Amino acid sequence: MEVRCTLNGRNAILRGNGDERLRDVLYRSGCTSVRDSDDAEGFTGSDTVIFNGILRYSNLIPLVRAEGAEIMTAEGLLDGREPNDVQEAIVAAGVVQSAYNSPAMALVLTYLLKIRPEAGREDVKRFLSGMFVRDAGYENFYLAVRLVQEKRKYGEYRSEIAPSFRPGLSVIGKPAAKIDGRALVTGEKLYVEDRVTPDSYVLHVLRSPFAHAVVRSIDASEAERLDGVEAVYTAFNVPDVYYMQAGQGNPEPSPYDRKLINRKVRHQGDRVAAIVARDEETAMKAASLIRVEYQPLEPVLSVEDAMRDGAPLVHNGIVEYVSGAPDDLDAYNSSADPDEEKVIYQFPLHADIRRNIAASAHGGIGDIEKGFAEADAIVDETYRTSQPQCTPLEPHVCFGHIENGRLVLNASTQVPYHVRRIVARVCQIPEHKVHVIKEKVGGGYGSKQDILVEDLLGYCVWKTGKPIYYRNTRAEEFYANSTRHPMRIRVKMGGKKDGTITAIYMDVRANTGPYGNHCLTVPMNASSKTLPIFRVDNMYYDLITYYTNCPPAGAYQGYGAPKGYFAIGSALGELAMKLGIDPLEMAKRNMVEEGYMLEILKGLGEGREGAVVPVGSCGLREALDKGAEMIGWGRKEESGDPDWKIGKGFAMIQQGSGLPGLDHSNCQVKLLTDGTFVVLSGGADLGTGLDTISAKCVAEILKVPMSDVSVVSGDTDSCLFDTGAYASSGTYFSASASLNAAMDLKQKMLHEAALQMDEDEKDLEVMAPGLVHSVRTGRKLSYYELSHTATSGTGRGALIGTGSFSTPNFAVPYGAHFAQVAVNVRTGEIRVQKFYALQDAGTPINPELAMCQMYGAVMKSIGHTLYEDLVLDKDGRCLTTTFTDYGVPMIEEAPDDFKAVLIDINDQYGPFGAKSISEIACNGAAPAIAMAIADATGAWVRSWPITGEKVLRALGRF
Amino acid sequence: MRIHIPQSIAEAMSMRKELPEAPFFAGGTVVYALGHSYDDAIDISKAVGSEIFHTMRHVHIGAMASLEKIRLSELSPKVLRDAASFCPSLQQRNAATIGGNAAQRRDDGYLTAALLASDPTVVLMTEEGKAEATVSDYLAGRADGLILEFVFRKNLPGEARRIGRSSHAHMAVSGARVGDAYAYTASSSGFASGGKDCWQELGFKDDLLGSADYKRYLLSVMF
Repeated sequence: MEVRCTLNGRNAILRGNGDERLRDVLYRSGCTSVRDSDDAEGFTGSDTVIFNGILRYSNLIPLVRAEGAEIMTAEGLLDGREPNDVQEAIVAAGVVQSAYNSPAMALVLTYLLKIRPEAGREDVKRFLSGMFVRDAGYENFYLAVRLVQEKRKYGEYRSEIAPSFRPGLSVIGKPAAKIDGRALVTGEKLYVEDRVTPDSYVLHVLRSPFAHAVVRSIDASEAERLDGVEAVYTAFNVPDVYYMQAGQGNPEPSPYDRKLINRKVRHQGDRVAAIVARDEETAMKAASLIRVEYQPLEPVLSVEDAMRDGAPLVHNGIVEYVSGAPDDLDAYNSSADPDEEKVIYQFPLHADIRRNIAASAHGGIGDIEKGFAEADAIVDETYRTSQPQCTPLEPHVCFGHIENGRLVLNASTQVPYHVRRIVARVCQIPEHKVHVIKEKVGGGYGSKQDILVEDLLGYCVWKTGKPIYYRNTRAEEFYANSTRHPMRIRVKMGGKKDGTITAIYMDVRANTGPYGNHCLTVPMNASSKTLPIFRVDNMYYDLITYYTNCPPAGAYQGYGAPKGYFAIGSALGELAMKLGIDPLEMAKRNMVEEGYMLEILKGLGEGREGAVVPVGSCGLREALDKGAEMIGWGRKEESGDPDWKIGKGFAMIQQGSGLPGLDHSNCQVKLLTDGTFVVLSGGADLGTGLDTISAKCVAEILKVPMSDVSVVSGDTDSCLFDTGAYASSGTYFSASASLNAAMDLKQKMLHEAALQMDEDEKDLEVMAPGLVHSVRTGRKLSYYELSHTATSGTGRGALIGTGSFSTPNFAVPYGAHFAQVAVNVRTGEIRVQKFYALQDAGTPINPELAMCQMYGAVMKSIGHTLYEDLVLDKDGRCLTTTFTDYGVPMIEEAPDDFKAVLIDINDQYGPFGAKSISEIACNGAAPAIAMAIADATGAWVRSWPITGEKVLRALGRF
Repeated sequence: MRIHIPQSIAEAMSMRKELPEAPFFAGGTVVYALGHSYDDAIDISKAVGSEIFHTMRHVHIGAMASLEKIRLSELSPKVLRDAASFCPSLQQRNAATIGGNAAQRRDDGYLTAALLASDPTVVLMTEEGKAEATVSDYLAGRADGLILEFVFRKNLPGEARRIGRSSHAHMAVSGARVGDAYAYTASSSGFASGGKDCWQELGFKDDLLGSADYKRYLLSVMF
């Protein structure tokens, strides 16, 4: 049907079926800012439009209702290509990060400021009540509104957007609009879905209804005969190629324990068949025609299930080793089921699949028993974490086609080079046949470190030759996607009356789900990112990761550290309470400081012996002291209502900056013929501002404005290798490569300039705004002249700087998070009143983006701690497949008083003294909130999520 | 799904007679949302009113009045305004209607407890013509038809409360009181109205939102 309406102030005709979702029609009509993050649940707000003068979710409006309507989308905010003042302000405020719904946010705030120009905090909260933000939190949207109001009133921003650092530098450490912010906030076509061609096919995955079953047979003949079906792939016709989906450095510390489609399904939602068809309707019809004979097996749904004697085995195939095979391997394999998929280790992970063990490790320092014997008090408690989902606004998605005999993938990924390698492997083709283009990533948070859709999509494209599009439904995101590893962590901690911790023991039991993605590295972080913050002589950990039939686990911002900190931070609080001393004083008495030799690292090497190094730059004490002062540590707050009790808690935290000795980054910087620059970075900016950091490196070193620099990143054809954006590596590794490339180019430019100017190279320097200057003669040569001559008919060639970065040195970020909560001891309701996140990120290169990442990470962590819960039924089927059922935090859940504070520390190894920022910010909320609840009520809740029901039970209310 | 748009109540009823399985489609936040698919639906937006107005003794709220409109109207009973704000998203409140919410008859409906406690008259169009029913009869399924409006007594005092894990989570329990009249809901467990302790009539069940014991306890301390 045709619907006549007004769209962004102009008469328009929208075409489609009457019952079609207005969102889909608008997108198809060119309003690509109107996106879908929730499959019409009516939750996230990416689909928000102004419809007849009010804010509506366009996914919940059928086209037929748009007849005669006035509709406005974010495209209507633009003047030509120019953003409006609200769009400019939200970029300036740092909240445009992965940005999938940033245009919609701008639309909502523009609407608010139109009807309420003096809008205050409560107005902003009300108008953003239906918008979900996962990356940057909500706090700086208040700032953005204030900035708009100031600019309208005074002609300039008057509020401080973020503090500035390093006064001697021009752009490093200064808030400056993200270089791709304008493109993102105006709704340019930057995401994978925007690349899909009209002739593309769809990929639909038929998934297992069982958590654990053997596929006895599949009859897909009827589906294959259906008009419009191009191909159907099952376990019986995919290649016999083993791999794993974790995008990690090669060789990976994860087992190759899967094929594209397996005979044995190991979780609800596991792949059973892949259908390539002309359209979704045909694909769904084909799926309904596929007859699958399952032999259901008893599922393993917890660590306890997995470890019990006689437990069903999630994997029981032949085990192979690429290196380091044990001598008794043949005997070990004698009980294998030859019909099951193999498990292939690149090197030993101390696994035992015949006991559902995917990996294990242990290590420590000192004499643990002696330490406990010296203690005046010991706590020995077990803490449990749940299975949070990353919930990126843009689900997992991929588009592929064949071009010039090569497989081209438009991917939303954190690891384009691992995608290339793994897809090449499953297609059994060399890497040069695969071109991965990392598009803008609408939220990753670790889940897009895993190659969860590109493998199958890539194979289908390669085999059929068709352009194919695949997009997870939101429900698939919940039950067939990677999540945090649920963990059971026992912590035994002993201490003396003076607050000295004498010994710490951690027993970590992790649940990796059906496959071993990150089965060693994520759980290792529960210990490897927590124990090294303690200056304790006796520490030991045991780690065992188990296979189960729960939804898959994988990478998630912070890896295992948020879980480890929940356990160890809570234990510290419990021990202090038992000893009758202040937990903050106890922390300060036992924390590391710069120069302390980290012997504990020897046993924390993730499959190899770790290097013992001293603590480097460390702002931990300052963070603790400052945070304590801010929150009024030690001062008891009263609510005035006897039911509402107020408590305070804190956590000291650390993370890493990439993986020294494993990670590797490369970058090139090209001087163009007009004297401007293009950066070709291998680093994968997933919205965090890595491209902006690369641009800043070039601008700073070559003394040009950032507007003279463009960045292309994560394109495997045009950019050099980078291990990817994970483990907090972006700033430390990828930006260091950008910095090295800029410095290399600078040297080459000075060398060339010396020849052109007939000067001595040592007399030359670069100076703003893009000149080579002779300190001896005062002569100047513009970059334009330099490049023009170098690339002329008699020139010596284009000037390109190349930089790589790998390092044995650690740049460890530290921090302290403080929480104040109110708990209603009658109803169990919990409110986070204050949250202060103080972090030493070294030099924060993009301070406003860094602060928003802190807000976002803390909000995620508050969500995991208090609200979010992936629930399975007794058969392993996921019951929480919508945002509402799962329970992500919205603006209403944000702390009333929320501050991110950057501790000014200059690191000796990071680029311009920078360290990582966002992962560490996931580590503090759980232990700080648990401690605050205990402070308020006297009750410790030792499992995620800390619900009102658990608090009330702990208080004995029922 | 075929969406039929009657221009009058009579036309809507006629369509319903022809399509007995077709739901009335009001705000669209349920019928048109994720997970729901029907062959036909009857869009009543052009047939049923959304006005909020008052007479000497009553406040009339059209079935198509959105929750946001109710929340902002000073004519709306306070208990209903409280309850309308339980719908946490502005976009949802702009779409969801009082009629649609009541028609779901959900025990975690935003308005259920407030409606029960404030006891408006529900004006319905049935196959036999216009009819009136108590809201408790309607919510219990003892009366049916296309809701046209709710008629509340004027100047009702009262308050409504909800407890859920977070603002956007389903409510574990809710309650409302208007003078001596109380009403309660508990997820998966039904709803009840009457005296202060009428929550005891509910058949509490465990679900994703909490155990039966938890919900029973919460209602026992709600007011």
